[in-house]
Amino acid sequence: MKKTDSRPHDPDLAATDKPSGGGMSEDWWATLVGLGLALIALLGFIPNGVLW
Amino acid sequence: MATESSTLSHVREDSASKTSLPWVALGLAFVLGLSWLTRFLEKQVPVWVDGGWIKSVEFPVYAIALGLLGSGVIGLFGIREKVAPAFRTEFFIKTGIVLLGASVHLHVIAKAGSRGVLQALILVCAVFFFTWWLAGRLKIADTLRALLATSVSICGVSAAIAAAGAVRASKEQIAYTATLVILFALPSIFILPWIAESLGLSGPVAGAWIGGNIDTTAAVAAAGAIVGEDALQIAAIVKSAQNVMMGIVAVALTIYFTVYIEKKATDSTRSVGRDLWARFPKFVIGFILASVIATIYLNSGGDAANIKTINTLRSYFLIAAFVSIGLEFRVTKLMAEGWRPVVVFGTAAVFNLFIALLIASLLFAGFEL
Repeated sequence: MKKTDSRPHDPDLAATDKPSGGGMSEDWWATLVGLGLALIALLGFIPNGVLW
Repeated sequence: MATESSTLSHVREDSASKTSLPWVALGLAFVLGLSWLTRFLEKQVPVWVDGGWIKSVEFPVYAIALGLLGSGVIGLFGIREKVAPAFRTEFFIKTGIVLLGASVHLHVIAKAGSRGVLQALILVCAVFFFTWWLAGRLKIADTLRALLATSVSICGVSAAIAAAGAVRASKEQIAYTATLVILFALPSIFILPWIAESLGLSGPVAGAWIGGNIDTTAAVAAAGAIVGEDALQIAAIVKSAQNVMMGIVAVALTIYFTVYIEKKATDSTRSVGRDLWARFPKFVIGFILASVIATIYLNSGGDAANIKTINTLRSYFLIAAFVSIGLEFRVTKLMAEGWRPVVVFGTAAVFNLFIALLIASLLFAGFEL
């Protein structure tokens, strides 16, 4: 589903909170991925040797 | 060339209709390949080159250089539009910022007492408003003004991205700001410790001064380490306290641009609350949550090695972001911004040097860890 924005369109806008698929914005995806990875690491599921 | 001057959002929108999943997968593989190469160079160059300034070159330099090189390659093969949707600069940086939250430990900041927090507060406010004022005098666009003021006063590219979400800055403005941050951070790693030594600053004062000056967190650690262990610890604490300010400034900018700048420009009748939420960089919530979770984790006896793992993950995302900045870089658009932002950034950096020295000398004189 496409997000609508009534603000005047400016081609220079980065629109950093644009939808990036699945109806969820990029900001929320970044939050989800970041927190998910952080939790996985805190639970010790990413051994130090895996990352270089 | 027309395509060169077009904005990145245009490139991405146009590309979306001219590409397919295999091309996007190839683009992503290209970003990941260059990111791996960046990490390899960051680790191996200091081993190959024994000593000298090149040992302190950080990943943003390699990543942007490789990205620029990659940009030339995909341009040569004429596949730019097909692979461009994979260059998710902002997603990579936003995820990196969320992970950065895990390294901002509230109890460590509390340990530095009121000094570190007070310095961060005074310094960020003074440098932010000085830069904002100067950029206004030089008639720089409000969006770029916000990016310059945030990056020079808080923590470089991360803060600029957080601000970009709030003020809706263009990608070229983000790239411009990132380039300035890197160009100024690199010599600071060596110049600041040298000045600190020449002035005979104590470890804590030198650390507070370095932490309050250098924009990138990694460069702060490198410069602090040159001075000594005390300086390194204080520099890291002051930097962490400044990083916390990123969330506060993002909220303030969101309110200012929504209530004042945009209302004035469009005379919109839209609800302010809805605008505020639409514009608010939501990943800042992730940044704050990560910080709270990591603080609770460490306070309840968690393994600090797992925090290190998160820091490494953060580096990977930031490397991918800088590679993408290099891949998306358009000189034409950048040149259009002119010389004024460089003057603003440079003057603000010098102002930062003096004001931080004054505050650090007052607050950290006689301080011992």
